[in-house]
Amino acid sequence: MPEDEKLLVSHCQTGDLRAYDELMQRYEKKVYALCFRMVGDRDDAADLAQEAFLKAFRALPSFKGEASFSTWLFRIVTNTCLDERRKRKNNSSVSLDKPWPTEEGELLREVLDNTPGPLAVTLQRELQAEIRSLLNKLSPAQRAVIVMRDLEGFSYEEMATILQVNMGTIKSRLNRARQQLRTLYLQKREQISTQEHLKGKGGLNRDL
Amino acid sequence: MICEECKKKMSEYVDGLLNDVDLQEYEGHLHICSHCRHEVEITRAAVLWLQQAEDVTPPPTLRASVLTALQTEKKIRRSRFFPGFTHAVAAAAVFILLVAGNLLPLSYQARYGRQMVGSSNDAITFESKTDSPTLDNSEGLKPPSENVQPRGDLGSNGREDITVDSKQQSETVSEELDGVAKDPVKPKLPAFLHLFGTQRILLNLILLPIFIFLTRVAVLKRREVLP
Repeated sequence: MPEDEKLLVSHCQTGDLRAYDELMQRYEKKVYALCFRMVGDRDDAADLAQEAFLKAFRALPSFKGEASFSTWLFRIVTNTCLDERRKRKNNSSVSLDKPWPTEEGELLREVLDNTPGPLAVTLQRELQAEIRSLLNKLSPAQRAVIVMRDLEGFSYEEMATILQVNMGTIKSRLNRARQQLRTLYLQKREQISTQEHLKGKGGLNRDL
Repeated sequence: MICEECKKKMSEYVDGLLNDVDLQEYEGHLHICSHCRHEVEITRAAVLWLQQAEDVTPPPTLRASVLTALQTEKKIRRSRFFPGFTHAVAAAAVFILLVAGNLLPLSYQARYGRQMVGSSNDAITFESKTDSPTLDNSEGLKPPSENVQPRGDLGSNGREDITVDSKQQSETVSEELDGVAKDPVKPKLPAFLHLFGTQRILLNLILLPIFIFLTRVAVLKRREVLP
């Protein structure tokens, strides 16, 4: 842990909110991104990031510095996100990112957007919706490792410390998660190629 | 290397974390196994596809909202007790006074009431002791020998009682302290009971508004800090 960060943390432990603001400034981007990848919704991500920062400040007096502050903070963030996912699993709120199962397969929910935009914007939006939808299909634990490794670039060691498991568990968890990711990715690719095939034959009159 | 081992090390291979020996062995297997080669390709493609996920920036209000929440918490923590605590304690004290002021005279009356009345002489004796309900049942407080009802004229029995000498009287009293009325006599309400009643009303008139005021302030102060 860098010296200046140690100093900031010790200031925070005495209740110095200005020091905590500086610490938050260093990590807010990564914390928010991690929350967003875990829940796939900007408002929920902001709520979760706020909750995690609050929890972290309250727990700071018990932070002894055995791990780096960032690892400790991301542990709180990950746990907050996983708890939220568990809570959500229990209540039946409808997520716009969740695919809508139909007889012919799953359809992505789309909010009607009347603002005209260039094709690139539309395509980008569709791509992001697909990525979110695929991440949503992973279990929370699998999603956590995929997000941490492939999207946020955490090292295996960092992931092991944050998730409080050993390296062997991280490797096997990541392997299983990526296997699932492969399966989902292939499914998605097949779906797209089928649509393109039908479109080529004029069977599907839907502009991709 | 067999395919199973290859699967176990796939993530490390894709992430470039295998050591030289393992890497050589792994690539040797990939060279001969098209299935594993395909799996590796798909994994790489899937990860690359996923990495197109948009960059997100935190809302500009994030830190400010955290700090506001923490400041509120700090304020609450700084005061040792919850806001309005002192008012709540004061209200509780007034409440205890109210209960005590209303119930103690009643219990006193329940305990001694029957002996407190009887003859005019006795009534006068008791009047002087009105303000000390905890008084012992000693000489000064010794009630008349006969039991009476709260209201009524001074009967002939009452007059007879006065003639009984003091020794006899105290004996009778100790026997009848349990309140067992053996010989009903026409009673007389002593003056101090009236006094008690007035005092109680005064007590209620003063303490009740104070109690209501303190409770209201305590509740308002508590509500102020609740999110």
